Amino acid sequence: MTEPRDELGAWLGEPVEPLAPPPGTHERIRKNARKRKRNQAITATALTAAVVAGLVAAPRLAGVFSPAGRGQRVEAAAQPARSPQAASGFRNKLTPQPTVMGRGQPLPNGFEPISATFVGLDTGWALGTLSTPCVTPGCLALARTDDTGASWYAVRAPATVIATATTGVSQVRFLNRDDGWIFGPELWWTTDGGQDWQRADTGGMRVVSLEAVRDRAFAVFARCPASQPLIPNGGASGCRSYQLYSAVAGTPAWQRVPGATSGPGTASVVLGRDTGYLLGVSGSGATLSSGPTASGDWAAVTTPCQAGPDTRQASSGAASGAAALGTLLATVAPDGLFAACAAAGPASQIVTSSDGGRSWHRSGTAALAGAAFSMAATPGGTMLVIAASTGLYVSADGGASWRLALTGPPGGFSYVGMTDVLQGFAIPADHSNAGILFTTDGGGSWRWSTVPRSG
Amino acid sequence: MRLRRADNVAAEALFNSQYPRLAGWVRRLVDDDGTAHEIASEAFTRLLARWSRLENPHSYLYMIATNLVRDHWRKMEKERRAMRAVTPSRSDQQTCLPDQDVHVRALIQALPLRQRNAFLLHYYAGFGVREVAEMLGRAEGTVKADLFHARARLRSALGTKND
Repeated sequence: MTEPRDELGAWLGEPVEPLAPPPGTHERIRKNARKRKRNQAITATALTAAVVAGLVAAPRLAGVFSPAGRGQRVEAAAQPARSPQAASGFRNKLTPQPTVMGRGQPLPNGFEPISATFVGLDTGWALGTLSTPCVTPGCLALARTDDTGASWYAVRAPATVIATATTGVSQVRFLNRDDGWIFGPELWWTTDGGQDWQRADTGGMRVVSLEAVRDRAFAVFARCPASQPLIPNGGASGCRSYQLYSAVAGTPAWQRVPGATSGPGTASVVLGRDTGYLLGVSGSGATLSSGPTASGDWAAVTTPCQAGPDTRQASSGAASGAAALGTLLATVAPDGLFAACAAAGPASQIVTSSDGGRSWHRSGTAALAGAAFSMAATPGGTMLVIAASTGLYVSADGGASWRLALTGPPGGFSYVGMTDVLQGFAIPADHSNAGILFTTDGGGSWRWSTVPRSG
Repeated sequence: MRLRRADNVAAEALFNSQYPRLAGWVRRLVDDDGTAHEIASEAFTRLLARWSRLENPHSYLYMIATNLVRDHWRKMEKERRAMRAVTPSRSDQQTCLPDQDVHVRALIQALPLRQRNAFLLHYYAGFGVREVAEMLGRAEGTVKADLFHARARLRSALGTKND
């Protein structure tokens, strides 16, 4: 037996080993601090104005003020309950209702989300298209929520159009409340939560995949024939070449990631907190490389699914991102990785790696009807969710067994993401559904958040 | 919006002198370099965002970092609970703690909040009892009592685990 006094004393007496800051830390901190000071000043000014307005206007307006002062909040009528609802088929969808508008302009009518991203449990952005006739340039709009989809308000979108094959954008990702990117195929970035957007120079290449973690973003730049159509989730197939690039948040300096696979075909990037993965496919097969999400070289690791390119796409006629490769990837901390490998039949083999993709073992089989587009894992890897053309499939045992948690609308779901061990969201493939689904129980049940629309 | 030149110089000096130690301090509590950098960076960001209103930035840094570490622990505990809920067969398995550092950290994490904050700031961040009392807004005697009870709890827990 160890003397407890010794153990505690030894622990307390152990000197703290300094941890040097990564390059650029001080500059990044200063920049973020400046933004916060500015936002604090804006909020303080706006709150003062709101109080004054509240004294002379109808009291019921006081509750719909945007706290960040960046946009105009709109309270969605007939909001779903915050508690999980049972998901049985498609009856959970709320009928869009007239909205109670905040001050100024609300979200444009007919907003239909096509992509969403969350930086915490409450705050997220939805990139959307507008049902015709459009009232904004490019039929593009961006919405923000600070209450997990209970209400949304408009923030500025980039001055571009909804994506076509070679122009416009289709996806949104934010790293934190300030730094975000909108891409696919163009690339735009903001450092102030969407108040201002700048277009990044991609040298004529399409950005087909982008994710962000820690202090930077990783993106797949691809050269694709103009005839190659855009596919869901911002991807493209049949490209002449692809390369992985990264940039520190808030900077336009995209640099090629050394050691990451490249070549003809296309690729998709997924990121864990410390390790990132690039899944590529070409006519000769698939490759997987991984590397640090801080700066450093990447290297090839073992490919999880040895099938050739896109067996599923041929049968479904639609695939996206990693799905176009016949494989879906999801990361779990610290070095865990799940892959769903498409097969010729309806069953996808689920394999997992606990060593960053160096070795794989089978964990189960998912009997998925239709095409699978996206997979997400909770941080610990306990819950897995697959978005498919027929609905949302959930595993609560690390991929060993699966069940259909929600039968989808026509077209199913194009994307699913988990923001927490229990909370996640899914995007319908048919954007005219004008909503995003949320789960607060790890994917077991889902509820609709209708983005306000009256058009 | 920007800091004055003199403030900039002072802030940079504080960053250069304190960041490595603060990040190292956090790393010992979270056992993860990435999380340690995130927490240390966030603490400095909050510090600089209200620099002109602070009299004791050094104390503020560690208070913020302590709160962020506590939030991180809560998040991890939430995930552990969720995992236990869906994998009941694991609940009876012996928890394997890889080393002494993690072992003691887990025990500190289980301390009552007021004892934990005082313990971390005094024994871990190296602040004196008077400074800790000022930071936490408590009397020195109260802080001494909290430290005494924290030590007693830890020794008791360590003794139990080592039997």
